[in-house]
Amino acid sequence: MLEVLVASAVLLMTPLLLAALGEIVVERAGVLNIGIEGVMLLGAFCAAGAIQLDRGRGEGAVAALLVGALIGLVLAYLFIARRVNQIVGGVLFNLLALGLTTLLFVSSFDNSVTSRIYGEVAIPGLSALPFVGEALFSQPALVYASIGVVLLVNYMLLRTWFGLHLRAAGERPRALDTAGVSVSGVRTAAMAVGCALVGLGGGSIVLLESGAFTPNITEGRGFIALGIALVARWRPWWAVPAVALFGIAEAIHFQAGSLGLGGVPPELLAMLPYVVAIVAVTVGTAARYPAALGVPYARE
Amino acid sequence: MRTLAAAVQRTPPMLGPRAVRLALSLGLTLLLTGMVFQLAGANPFEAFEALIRGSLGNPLGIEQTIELMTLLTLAGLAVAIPARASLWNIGGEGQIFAGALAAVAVALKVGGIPPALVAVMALVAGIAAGAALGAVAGALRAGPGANEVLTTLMLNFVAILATYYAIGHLFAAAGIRGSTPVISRDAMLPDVPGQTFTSGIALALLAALGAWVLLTRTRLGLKIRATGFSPDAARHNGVRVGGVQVTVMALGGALAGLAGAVVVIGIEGLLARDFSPGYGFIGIAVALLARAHPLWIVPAAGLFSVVTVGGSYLEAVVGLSASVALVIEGVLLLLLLAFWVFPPERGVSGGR
Amino acid sequence: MPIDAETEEGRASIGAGVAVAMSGIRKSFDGVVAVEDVDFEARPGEIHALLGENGAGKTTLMSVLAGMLKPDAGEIRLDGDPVTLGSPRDALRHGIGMVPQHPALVPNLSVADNLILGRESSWRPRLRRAALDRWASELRARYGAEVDLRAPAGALAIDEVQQVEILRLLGKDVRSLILDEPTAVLAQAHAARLFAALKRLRDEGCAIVIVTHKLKEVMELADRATVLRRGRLVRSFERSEFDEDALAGAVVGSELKAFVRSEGRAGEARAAARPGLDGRSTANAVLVADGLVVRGASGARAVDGLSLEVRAGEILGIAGVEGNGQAELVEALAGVREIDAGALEIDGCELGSVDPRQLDRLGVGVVSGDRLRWDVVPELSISENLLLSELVDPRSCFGSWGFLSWRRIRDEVAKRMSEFDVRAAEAEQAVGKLSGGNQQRVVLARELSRRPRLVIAAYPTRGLDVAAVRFVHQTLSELRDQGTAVLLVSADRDELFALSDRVGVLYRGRMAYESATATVDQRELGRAMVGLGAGCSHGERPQVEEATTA
Repeated sequence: MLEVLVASAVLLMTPLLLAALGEIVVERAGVLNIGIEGVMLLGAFCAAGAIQLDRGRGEGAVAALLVGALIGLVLAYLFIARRVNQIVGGVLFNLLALGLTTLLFVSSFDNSVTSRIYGEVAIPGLSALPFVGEALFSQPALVYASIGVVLLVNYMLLRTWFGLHLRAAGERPRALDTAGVSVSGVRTAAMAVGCALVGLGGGSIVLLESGAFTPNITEGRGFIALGIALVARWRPWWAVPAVALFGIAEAIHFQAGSLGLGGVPPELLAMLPYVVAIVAVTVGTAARYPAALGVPYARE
Repeated sequence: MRTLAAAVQRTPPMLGPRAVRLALSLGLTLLLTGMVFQLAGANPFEAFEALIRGSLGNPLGIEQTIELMTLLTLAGLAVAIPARASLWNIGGEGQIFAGALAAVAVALKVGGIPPALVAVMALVAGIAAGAALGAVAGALRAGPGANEVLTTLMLNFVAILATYYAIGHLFAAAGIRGSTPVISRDAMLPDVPGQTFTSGIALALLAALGAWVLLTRTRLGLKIRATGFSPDAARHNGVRVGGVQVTVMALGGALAGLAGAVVVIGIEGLLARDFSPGYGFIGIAVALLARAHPLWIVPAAGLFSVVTVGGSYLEAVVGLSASVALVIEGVLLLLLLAFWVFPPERGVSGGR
Repeated sequence: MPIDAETEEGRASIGAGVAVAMSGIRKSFDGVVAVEDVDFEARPGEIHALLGENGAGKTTLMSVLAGMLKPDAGEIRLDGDPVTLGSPRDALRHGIGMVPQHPALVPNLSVADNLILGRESSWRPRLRRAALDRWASELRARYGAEVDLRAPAGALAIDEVQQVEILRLLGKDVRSLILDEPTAVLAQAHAARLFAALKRLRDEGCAIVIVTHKLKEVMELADRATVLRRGRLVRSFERSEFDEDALAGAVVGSELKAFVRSEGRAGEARAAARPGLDGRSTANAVLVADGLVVRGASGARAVDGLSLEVRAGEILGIAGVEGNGQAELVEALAGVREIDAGALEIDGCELGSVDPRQLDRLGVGVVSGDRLRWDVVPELSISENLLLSELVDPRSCFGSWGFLSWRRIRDEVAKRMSEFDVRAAEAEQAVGKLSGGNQQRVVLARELSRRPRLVIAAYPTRGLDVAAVRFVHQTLSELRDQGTAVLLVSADRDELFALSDRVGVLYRGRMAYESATATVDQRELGRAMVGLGAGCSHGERPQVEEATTA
């Protein structure tokens, strides 16, 4: 029973982890992307679209990634070049994405094409471990890849010029500007990279869980990823335990019936991560936010 | 990449006077959504015509439009009032759920008193539940300084999950999955005399008028506006900014909670898990279109209702999904924002 | 663009800077002209001082040169070739860089990271830590700075922050270095070190522009000086042409000076005509502060055990170099900053904590000195601003049951507008659209029209035109004559002497000198302002141990 729970939690965690990493990237650059839910949804839609067009899963993942990057650029144009308020813009984009994907799904998708989800890849040796072996080490390749993405994002943020400039853009954009680096350029690129990951996160919902798109398939998971970024304090590695918290709560919620949890209602357990997120915002005083989060940069 | 960076660095061009930019955004909206219709396999002209016919061209459409307008007016006000104090209430959705839950609880559990009184109590309970949820976010902002965008966003899920729990366990209906039992017809708000739509619309219109009076004619309204424009100057002149922040968030929550109560005891007569297609979030768009002016909220909500109800008609006639409404609304508002028909940065609360 | 850190050493030798010439520069913000038709030149191997009062347009002009602002008109030439400086990046490419008044380092990055920021393009992949650290420590060594490269920039003391800012620019091969009021926040010893460093850079061929309003620094450092007044060029002086008097005259301008002088004499005469005021009687003391401690934004004690007393019918003028606790004192007395320790008594009423509304009820008027931030809400109308503090007070007479009574408000607004001569088309106009002088009249009308017992006025004439200045001065002296106690904080010494009955000097949050205006010892007062006075008991205590970058 525990194994089923852990395995399902790990599957649920992968999209969240990818999306949260994407949000960490854009928030570290100073952009609050409330539109993350919409980006995920479009990523999921495109991954499913690739499958509809009889392409492979790999191509589905690439499609989600590319569409995410493209949307990132569009949103960056709105938020950075046009200085559209990031909160309203994000909420509106979510509504638009929900409308668009539902509309196109209803009109153009063939519901019978499904079930081409990723197969498991068992890691020899580890997967034979008792209890958690199969749950942790017999998972689709994308799940392992997501851990690689944590490494990559961490490396990018801390060890590259882009990462250095990105962190400066989120903390004190004026310092970056007076150092001769374009704040807009760095933030735009961060949006492209971050939203690509968010898109892949959305795509992985289709590729890992259901194999097909359904309207509003993300069901607010973008917002969960937003909460994870908060709880993780914008650090890529901390996203892993934060995702685990949300993932396990979610898995319990889904599997409540089979778990026979007795007296504890699954909805109340599912609430827990959100309460943790609220506490994280509340006790994390302003000093620990990226200081310029959500603030458009203008010289005058 | 460098040219891209250079391109975005420049101050955005204004593309002529505001009227031109408005016309441009409207035109582009029609063009872009028309293209989406074409893509989805429908004739755009027929689709737009059917949109209007579906919402305003028949009695059922009008009824639905007015009922939706009731909810969107309240959801829009729930965003607009905090916005005037420079606070974002992204928690409308959760507050609506909380209001609906409280209302249905009262309507189902309170007995032995005149049904009209039960209806009133249900409304009050809905208002109180929404207000409490809003006040929590307001207090977290005023006290420890927690960003209200994030707290209200997260509180949505808390309220929604609590409602699911209540529907599943406390008020589970025999036979209907994901819904409470139907409440007594007597404990519901009456329809407007001679019409088929709920008198909740009167509550919504009164709320809009009341919000306008509040903002322009009262001491609290002045405090709200002063806080919104310049919290420092407000504080310096004796406004207790923290108190104002809690108050506006509670007011916003109260209005969203009222919307939830109206859904239960004015329109549906029960509480279903999926009763809201995101009213709280659409309320943000409504408030934006009205630039947080309480009286403009009403026509803005009206426009959104026409598009939404028309959208569901399209589903039946042209075979498009009802979600065309979201596409039209999203594209229009994003274009209005991108073309700076509303000045940037100030966001929702642009006007005096 | 550069290039690996290793190859950088070859370019370490100093090349001569280029001559920078700005001509006909004009820049306005929302229709308000900040700089109009100004010419300016900086030459290699020279320190050029840019002088002017607050709001004269110095910072705006230099921000244009550093690529931070785009001029509305005018031309910039480098060695005779016209250039466009559309961004700080353009300016840096031409070797021009500015140390802003409020330094901008990324607080959570290390000093080394701040130094290398922008050194290479974002698209180059890897940070080569070892090489970059070596480069940073060489840069530090070359200019004799002593900051810890590993410390986060947010933990540095203010003088270290400034060193890092300068290093940052030198690391980008800046040959024309602009410093915006660099000594405003520095202790004397640190200022001296800075000056030595600047002279060395000059001798190496840098062009240095130092924005300041301290004549002493100009006399010590500058090879040339340019004076701006109200956004216009007054004159550029060669070294042989200027002395303190000439510069002072150019900075203040003749009209204002003459006016202040006559007012000043009148003030002294008035003080002389009222005997008994100098007798130490606390019987009619309205404001009594004892051992007041107020912390600044950085957590340092900005007001540090200050005691003062203002009596009914007198103006106590507070002089001092800005940044010695004036702002924090005023904010504390206005009830918007917490008082850490000490006793405060207003009109015999002991106050534990100060609350703006309580002050309003006690009859305290506050003119904060930062009008658009604290005093008015620019987007609200004149009438709303004129009555703001009363309208939001539930005990006021302008409303009932929470509703505002507009009829009563209209009458009062009309009365105040005519009494204080607020010139506007209508009372519903937004205050932000008024001129600075009219905005200040609105503030005065709100704070002073109710015959306050006590007035706290900080920099009440800053940025105002001559007529408005005169109006403010008249209003304050009339109030004093009617028995109001006035605490006047000002950076303008002439204004202080013209209006005050007593003057005090604030230095490091304490009263370093205090005397009746008539018997003031100018030399002692001057020494107290720079921390050399007899009253500066804790003298040269370095400020850095507490001050950090806010």
